[in-house]
Amino acid sequence: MEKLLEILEEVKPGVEFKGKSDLMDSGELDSFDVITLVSELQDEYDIDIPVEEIVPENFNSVDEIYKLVQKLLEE
Amino acid sequence: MSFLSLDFILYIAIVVGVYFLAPRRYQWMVLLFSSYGFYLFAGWKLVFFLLFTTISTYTTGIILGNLNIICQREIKSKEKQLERKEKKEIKQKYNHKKKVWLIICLIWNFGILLFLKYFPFIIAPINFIFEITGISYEIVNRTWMLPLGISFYTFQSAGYIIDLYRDKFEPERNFLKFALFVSFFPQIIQGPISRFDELAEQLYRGHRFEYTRFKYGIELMVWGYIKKLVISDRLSIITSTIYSDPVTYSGFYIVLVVILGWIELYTDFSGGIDVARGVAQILGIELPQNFRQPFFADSLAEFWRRWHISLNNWWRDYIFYPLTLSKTFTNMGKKCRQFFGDTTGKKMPIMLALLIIRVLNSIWHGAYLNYFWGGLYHGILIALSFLLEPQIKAIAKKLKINTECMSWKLFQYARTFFLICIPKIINTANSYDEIFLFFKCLVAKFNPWILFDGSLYNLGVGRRELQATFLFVGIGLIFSIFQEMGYSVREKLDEQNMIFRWGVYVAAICSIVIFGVYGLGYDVANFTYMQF
Repeated sequence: MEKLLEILEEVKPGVEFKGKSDLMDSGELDSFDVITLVSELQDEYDIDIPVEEIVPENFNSVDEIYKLVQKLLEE
Repeated sequence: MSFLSLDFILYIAIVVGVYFLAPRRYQWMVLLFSSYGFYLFAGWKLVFFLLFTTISTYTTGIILGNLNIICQREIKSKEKQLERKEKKEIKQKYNHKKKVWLIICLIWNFGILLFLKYFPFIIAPINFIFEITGISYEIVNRTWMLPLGISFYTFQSAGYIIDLYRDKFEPERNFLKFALFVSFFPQIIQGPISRFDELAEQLYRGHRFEYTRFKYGIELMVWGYIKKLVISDRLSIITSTIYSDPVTYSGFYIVLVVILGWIELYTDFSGGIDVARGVAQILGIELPQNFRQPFFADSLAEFWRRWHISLNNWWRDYIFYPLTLSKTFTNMGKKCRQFFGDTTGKKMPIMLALLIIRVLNSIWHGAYLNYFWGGLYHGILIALSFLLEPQIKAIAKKLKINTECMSWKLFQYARTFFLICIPKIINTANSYDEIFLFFKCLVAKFNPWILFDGSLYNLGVGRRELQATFLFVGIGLIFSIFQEMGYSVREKLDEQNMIFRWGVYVAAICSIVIFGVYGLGYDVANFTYMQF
């Protein structure tokens, strides 16, 4: 989780991610941020994030992003 | 049948009456009949194109849905024996089959759209090949009649089929219900482009008559008509006058025509969308928002997140994301990192995808070179601002610029508006010569006093009508400020006393009757986006 927060901070500096549950819906993470984040996560965790997983339900909060990474790591 | 005709109002009144009188389980059938009835008014021959798309998408949807089920069953039946790798292989096997069907369906549907919309541009290279290879045959150029809303229903159907490929939901197995999803009449002319998982359930579920929803729907429709008939069509008289003779109307007239041109386009398109959303709301159906105060965008990228939202979201979900995550783009990113370093290299594939999206979006409006240049202009500026964002932020910090204050925000809004005005000149011109002429006329004179000395009343719109138009532009601006601050104008109006509310309703309807462009001597212009 700490590593994930570091990546998020790198992608979107100055944003308080903890406790937020509408990161993608509110536009705080826009499409450029999302795709940059996906690319960072793929590199860091050596996973493939399929395009169908890029939906607000997976990117609206840190917990959801973390769950997505865990799910893909297990697959 | 145009949204702007009295026939349409009458049609809506009948549809709403029958819809709420019908048993709720059959209400969707009323919508289907009324949607096809509406479509048939545009010409019975064109309905075949709509049917081609509906049948092909429905059939492919069923096939994809079945493949999804078979794949899941196969994995489930052997779950205990299978390793992760084997499960992945089974998924890949079915994904390959699904991809073949997906591609066939997309080629078929986009093929129809491309053939009808871009025929001259398709035959030009073919004829050129015939010519250079000595084949004495020439495909005769002709303009096909475009089926009503073909772009919009094709994109909506393509979204459905791609979502099924991604196993996002189950396919609709009732053909008539699916036909309704493709043809729902308020949105078929110019959108918004809806998603199946957001719209279908609302269409198929019955709705009780609700007074508040009915009232909100009517209010939205009336505001849509004011935007179109009182603002847009009135401004179009002025912009046509200036564009037709830029030599006479040079200098500040050109500045004015570009600004008014944007207001005209916005009130035309968003007015039509308001009417569509208003009709749907009366019926109990929420269509997606297509505009979110676009002139309050602080950057070009943000502008496109607020303008024609449903189409831009379509590009994002079905082109931008798959493109940037594709193997080609991923490999390109890796190579770019070697050449440009980590930070810049990572951004390169995203920048290229941005460029492609903006050009595609422009060509969607028409396969003309000026649209292409307009798209390229937007793409390059957005890509550059994405690339240089950290440096720009660092400079602002070093110069101690407060980027959170109101004046900086206003500067950003003005800057974005200025940036969208430049390609507006390019897109409006019919030739390169005309583009140069417009820019030449722009700098030919310095005459800002035309804004105040009554010259504007000599551009085809009388003093009283023009003042009314600007009054409504002002009201629209106030509404936008309210909405930007998070208030709902209709909810605020709802809180007022009945006398005030009815005063507003009567004033709004009288304004359309008195100041709207219609009647003898006026030809009501159809919505601009109908042609796309």
